[in-house]
Amino acid sequence: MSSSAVPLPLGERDDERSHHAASLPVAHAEAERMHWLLISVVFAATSVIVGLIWDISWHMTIGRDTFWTPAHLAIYTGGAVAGLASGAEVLRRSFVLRERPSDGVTIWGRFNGPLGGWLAIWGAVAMLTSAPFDDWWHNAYGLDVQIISPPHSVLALGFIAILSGAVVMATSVQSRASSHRASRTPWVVAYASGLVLSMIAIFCTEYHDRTLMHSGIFYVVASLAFPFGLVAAGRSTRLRYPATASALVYTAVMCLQVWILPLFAATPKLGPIRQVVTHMVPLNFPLLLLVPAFLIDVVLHRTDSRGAWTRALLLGLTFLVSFAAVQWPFADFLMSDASRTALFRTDNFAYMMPSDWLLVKGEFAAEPPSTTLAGFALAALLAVLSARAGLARGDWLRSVRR
Amino acid sequence: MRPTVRRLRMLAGMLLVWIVGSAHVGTNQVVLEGRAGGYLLRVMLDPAGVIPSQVPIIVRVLEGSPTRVTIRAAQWNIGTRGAPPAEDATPVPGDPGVWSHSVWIMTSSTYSVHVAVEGPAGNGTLIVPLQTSATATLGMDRGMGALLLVLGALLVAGVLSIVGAAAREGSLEPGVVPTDARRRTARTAMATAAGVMALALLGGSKWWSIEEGAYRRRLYRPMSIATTIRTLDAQRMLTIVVTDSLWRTNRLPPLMPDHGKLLHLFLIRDGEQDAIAHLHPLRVHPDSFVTRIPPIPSGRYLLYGDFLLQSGAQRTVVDTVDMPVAPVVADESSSPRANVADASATTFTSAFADADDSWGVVTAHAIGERAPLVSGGSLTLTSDTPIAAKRDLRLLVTMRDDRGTVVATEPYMGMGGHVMVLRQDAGVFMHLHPLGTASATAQLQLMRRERGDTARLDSASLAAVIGAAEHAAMPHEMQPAPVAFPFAFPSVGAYRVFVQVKRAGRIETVAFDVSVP
Repeated sequence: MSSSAVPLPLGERDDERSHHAASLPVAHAEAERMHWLLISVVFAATSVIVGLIWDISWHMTIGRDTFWTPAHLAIYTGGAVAGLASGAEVLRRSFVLRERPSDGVTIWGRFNGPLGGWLAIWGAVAMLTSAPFDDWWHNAYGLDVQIISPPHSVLALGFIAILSGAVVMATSVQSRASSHRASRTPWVVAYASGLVLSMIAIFCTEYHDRTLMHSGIFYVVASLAFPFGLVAAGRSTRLRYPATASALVYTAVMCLQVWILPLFAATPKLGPIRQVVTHMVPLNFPLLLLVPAFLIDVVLHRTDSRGAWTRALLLGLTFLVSFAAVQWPFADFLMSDASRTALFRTDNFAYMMPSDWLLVKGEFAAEPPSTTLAGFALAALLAVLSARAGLARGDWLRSVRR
Repeated sequence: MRPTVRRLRMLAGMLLVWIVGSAHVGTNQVVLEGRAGGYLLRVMLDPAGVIPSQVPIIVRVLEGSPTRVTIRAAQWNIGTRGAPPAEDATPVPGDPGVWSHSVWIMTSSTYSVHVAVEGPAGNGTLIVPLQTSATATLGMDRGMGALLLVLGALLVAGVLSIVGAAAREGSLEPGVVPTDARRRTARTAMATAAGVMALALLGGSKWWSIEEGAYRRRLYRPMSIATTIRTLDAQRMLTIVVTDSLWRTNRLPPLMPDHGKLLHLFLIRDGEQDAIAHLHPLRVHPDSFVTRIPPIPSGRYLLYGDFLLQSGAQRTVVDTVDMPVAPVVADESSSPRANVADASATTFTSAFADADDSWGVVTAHAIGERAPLVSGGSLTLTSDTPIAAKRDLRLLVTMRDDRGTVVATEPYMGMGGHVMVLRQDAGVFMHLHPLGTASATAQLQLMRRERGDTARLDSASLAAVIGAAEHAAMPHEMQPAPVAFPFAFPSVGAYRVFVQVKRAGRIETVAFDVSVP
């Protein structure tokens, strides 16, 4: 599973030094700034993902509390860091520097900043907007713990923008490759792509319940979501096994939360309580995306000369077949008593879960085989389209220079 | 597959709002007085009518000085086994003896709110029945609307600008100036993005109205009924048929009698609000309740009927009925019309009449004024605290004999009296007892359920509470003292308060007008 950095055309220090000797101090200072901005935005993206996982666990364990839960603070810290760091950079470029830097994009004729920075700022504003909107929504409709609501969607768009900002900023640095840190940048791209993959997985949680792992809908939603994320990462990251690397990040994030969250004691503060909960309830054990991710990398290596749709066809089908081949039997294991351990935590349920629900009883949702087959047919189609979109996204990310 | 997905969605939303419930009309407020061990408490719960939400609780200690007050809310069918731990109420600064807290209520259901008190007089618990239902929605004020509009416009402008900038310069090596072709591409991209944004906003707005509609459908509505009045055998017969689909499909818990009656029906003449009947129809069929109309004048009447369900939920049905003129009974004594229409007659008997039925034509008196009684003597209504909206207080009903001496009332359905409160615009109707606005039967029911649910746990103190409450709920001799009705007027306005007490075997009905500033 080891991935190694691919040598970059402009990434070798000697070349860099000899070609840009005169402008080195300025270029170096700017690269250093960019480096810190990238670190800030990647930190913000991490904070958002950690906060999101923490918040969902909080709602499954403790229930609703105040705005000032640590989970909410982590999420909003992410928004604030992304917005303020990028905003400060835009203000510096637009008003402090005499000469406008050439490596940013300009909006409204006056404001200049890196494209990823603009996305991060937009995400922060979206998060800011969602806060009063969400508060009003709770008071008006009380549907407080609904995951998918209009104000939560605005918040989710904010997350997406901040995470995309991190990816775009990292890929632009990777593409320009003028920094002496360039050789490390692909790892940053892979890490940010892994966070994006984690976010996609969290957004699909509702359809990734293990009771559905033998149902068509599970593979339909997975095929819609993951080929896009994996192929985009595979296409845009300059590593030998980039999709694998991003899936590794996803797997690590989700495993860590499964292993770490239950170490903290907590009890529900809302009723009705139908499950005995003594510690933080984690999200599900990660899906086995590593296997399809590795095969996507292999297919990408071998189909470089093919047309985009042919590649998408191969990539999409590879994803669906390999994912189903590992996840379907793995689901049997997750349903068995053997998985009710500290490693997998399949015996942890949200406090409000009624005991007669399939998840608690450890049963798969039943559906006629024809429905499952129809689901797989749809999944195949969606996987190809999703892979095609992923290729387009990856190509665009490769092209970003600013 | 589909039911599973739906169930998951339900979990995601935790919107288990199948059965909504609410007592009374136009208010969710609960005021209840009772003993918690050595302390006398008055508890007021004031739900906002949004689910889930926090329900503010005020505990006023009337006797004793506790050192700690805790609150715990248990859903009726799950009990304290499935309730979150008790939370501490805090003393209200500047208002000694008053404690406050807010408790999270997640579902439309019935809850037993356990108010536990600790202090020098020992420990005790008072159980307050609370029905929760979504009854309201919130408008958006201008400031909030403007703020969201500005931020929303900024976000849309931001998307267009970022898309434009990305298409124009995103892929250019640093320092390269975008060509005209690129600028055109950028404009196309922005136009496309504008189209997508417009669709997204349209979809979002549609989604919002769907959510709003779904919420409105879950708002509490009284059970639907069909009311008819027919003249049969020279009597006006009123039939109430419950047509509610939840009722008809057995999705409501079964009925249970509240102080001995399955249905307490109130008829109040609309407009003048000068004629009232408090009747107890007979259940002749699972869905049908029949009563004979006593001799009350004709006209349009407001109809309120209180049912109690085995969950402890009180359900009030509402309707308006046009009361025909009482028929003339040819073969009865000398002046039939006058007799039948005599509002003071209390000897009405029939298979469809209940011994505890009462009615009267009343003239409203001012609060504090002595209202003369048919059986001699007088009745006054006062408040122990200056009246204000949402202020918990005691309405005091004082009965005096001819000489002005305070005398005891006789038990009427096991209580010192009954009070009906109607806001004169008919927007609020509540039925009070000496316990408060909640039903004593509901309170007992919740305690008994809890006793059953916690049989395996240490429930000795709870058993003592239940024993005391059961004793208190038994009819016993009334003292020659004012009868107190714990209450809080839910809103400002002009109210008519109907008081019913029993004296010398006769039920007296008196009305008072109260203006709540």
